[in-house]
Amino acid sequence: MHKRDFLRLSALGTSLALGASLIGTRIARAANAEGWPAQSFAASSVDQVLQDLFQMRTLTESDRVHVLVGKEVDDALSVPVSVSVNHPMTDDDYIARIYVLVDHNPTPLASIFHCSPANGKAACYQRVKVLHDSPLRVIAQSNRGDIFAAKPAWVHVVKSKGAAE
Amino acid sequence: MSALSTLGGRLSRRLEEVQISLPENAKQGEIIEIRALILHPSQSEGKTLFIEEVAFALGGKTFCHFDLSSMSSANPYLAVPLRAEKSGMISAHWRNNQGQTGSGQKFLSIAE
Repeated sequence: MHKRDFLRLSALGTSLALGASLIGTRIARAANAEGWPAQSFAASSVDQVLQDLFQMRTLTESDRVHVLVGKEVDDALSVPVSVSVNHPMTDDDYIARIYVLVDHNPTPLASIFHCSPANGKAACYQRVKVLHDSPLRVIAQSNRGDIFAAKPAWVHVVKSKGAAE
Repeated sequence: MSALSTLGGRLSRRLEEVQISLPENAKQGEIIEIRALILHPSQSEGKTLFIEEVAFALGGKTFCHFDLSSMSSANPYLAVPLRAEKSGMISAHWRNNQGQTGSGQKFLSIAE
């Protein structure tokens, strides 16, 4: 990622966060559309999320899932997370979903990335909130149901959420 | 004051906008990176406001998408890979938890 972009955009973000009321009122379709997993996102503990998504609470760690995230972060509201999974992306065996969880957030499940063989490789980049010091987990699931969990990465927030806002 | 209101106008015009970045010299078969920046707030307390879904498409056909929570950052900046097989319009569509939507697009040229 371009560091320059990141710095410029995070400064812009602070101004934009104050401008929420400027968003228009165009309604295209109802919120919580079908397909958006409301129950998993509503879960307030990691155990609940894992139970809901995988029907189990303990996942075997795999070294196939590579996660790049800062060990110490300055901005709790914008923590870059880069993920790549060492797995084929063929029509009959591919990574279908990549989950990012932050254990100590009020909503531990941050995102689900749905990918397909057209992506060519199983990878994604995003920015998440890490409101307090917390393990960050990334779990990949293949179209066959195989589950690969990265070893949780501990993220230390140098400035608290209040200081970042 | 006038400088501030000019800045405010510029920022509000840019809200909801989707900026897409593509490599300029992609070769056929290469795995490229597509980046999308969506200017949108993220409020996780009180009246929540955040983007729930972002879908990436080539020529109108979705090839990957994100489901996001309020713990995704404001102004989502996302990158995804794509195996570049053919030229076509890359688009990114978003929907927030209040049902509002937006999109952006950029043409992907593949050297054959």
